[in-house]
Amino acid sequence: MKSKEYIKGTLRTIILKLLSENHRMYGYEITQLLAQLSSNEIQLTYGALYPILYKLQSEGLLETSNEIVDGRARKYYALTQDGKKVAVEKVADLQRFAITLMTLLSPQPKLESACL
Amino acid sequence: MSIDKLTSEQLKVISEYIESQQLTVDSLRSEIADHLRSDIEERMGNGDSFDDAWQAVRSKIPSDHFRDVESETISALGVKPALPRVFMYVSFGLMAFASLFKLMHLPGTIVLLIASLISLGASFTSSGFVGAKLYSSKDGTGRLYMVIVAIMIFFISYVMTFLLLPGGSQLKFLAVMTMLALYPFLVLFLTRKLDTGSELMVYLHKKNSHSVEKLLWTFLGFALLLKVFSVLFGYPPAVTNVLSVTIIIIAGFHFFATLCHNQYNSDIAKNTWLKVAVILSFGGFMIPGLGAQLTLTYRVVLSDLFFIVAGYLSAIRWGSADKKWLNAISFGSIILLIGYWSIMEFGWLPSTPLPITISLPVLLGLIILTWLAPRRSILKVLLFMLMAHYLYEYSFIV
Repeated sequence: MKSKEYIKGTLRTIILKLLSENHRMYGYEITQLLAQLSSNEIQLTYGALYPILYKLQSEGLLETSNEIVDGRARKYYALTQDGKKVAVEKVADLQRFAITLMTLLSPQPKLESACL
Repeated sequence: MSIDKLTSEQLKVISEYIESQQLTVDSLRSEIADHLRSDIEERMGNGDSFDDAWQAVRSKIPSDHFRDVESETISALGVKPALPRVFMYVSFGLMAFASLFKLMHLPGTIVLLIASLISLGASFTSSGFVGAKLYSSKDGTGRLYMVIVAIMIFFISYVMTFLLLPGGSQLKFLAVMTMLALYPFLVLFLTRKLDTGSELMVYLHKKNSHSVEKLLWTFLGFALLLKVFSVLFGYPPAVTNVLSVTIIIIAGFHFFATLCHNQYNSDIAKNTWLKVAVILSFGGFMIPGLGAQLTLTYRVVLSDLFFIVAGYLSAIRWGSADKKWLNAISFGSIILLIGYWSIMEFGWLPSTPLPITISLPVLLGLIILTWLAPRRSILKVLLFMLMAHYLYEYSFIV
């Protein structure tokens, strides 16, 4: 995963966003979709993904369902009603923050008379 | 997404790897297994062989990564597995202060010791509750709670006896009888289960058994320290007695819980005599817990019964490597306890100062033996029990 420190603070919101656009997803599916959407710039480790999924679940933002697929148990995650609301808020917050970051990081015109 | 299905051999490789990671949260373990399999199947679908896919998947996982994932996940679940440990450390701390206060003749020793026992009880109880919450898919939460309640009644009865409150002896009797009734039920129930891996109590014990030795050494350290000082300066041995009983209870339950683990369980299930032996030895272990309600003779006879049967059971269970040692411990224990009983009953030795010159070397020998016994062996557990019995019974001739 590139830029770990940047991803860490935003991963919750990214997962909420992915789940808001997909009815339900399982762990591996989330990592694959994220890698695909980010052109392999973001490759989640187990340690980055599962603690967040469990945290979101314990906060009541995600609900889970289990299914047997190819002879093994698979756990699917989906947003709860609260989760859907929080996803909208968090995504909007992050977008605003991203715009602010873009502004801050774009080349600024040099001030002629800097305070000395 | 997935194209190729894995063969049973390939599934076995993955399954063994998952097992080797010793993940304890069931839901996380099955999620990680699904994740690994999905990843491998995807790679095999893209043309990789299983070996290449497996190698690629493994190379992305740092060592101990899954342990870290699990501890972070447990924190995220909002349960505090550290809570039992915190109570345990508080218990040790209070016990250390109680010992210090006792040695310095300061008031408040009893209050500190009682607080220490309460904290120890809180550690066991919270450990049970946290375990039941974390491993909710396991069976037997009710059985686990029954055992916790019985042990807690026993602890409370000791606290009451210590405080000279009325009803302490009756409560202790009730606790001992409850456990005597409960244990055969558990033995009969568990031996009917083919796979005790799904049993919460067995699972929690397996998971925590490595820390039992540390716990026993800590308690034994305090008990020995106070015992030596009580012998040298003539303190009443009450504090040492409580610690000795605590060691006997912890080590004893550890011993009997270990007997119920998978492999031996099926042997007990097939053999009625083994069942009877296990239940009888539990009586020999538990009934002396009544303490002064029984005479020394009864306590020695029952404790000997425990050591005879426990030595026999252990020799069968843990194979030939430890057999001679286990038999030696079994017979050594009997001789030691009967020896002291004889000294007491027939007044073969005056009370002071000879017992110190005899007893301290014997104690030292027992400490060395326990230290030398293989780590995490049942031999060590039996030696802890023997030493605690010795400390307890010896207090009567100070």
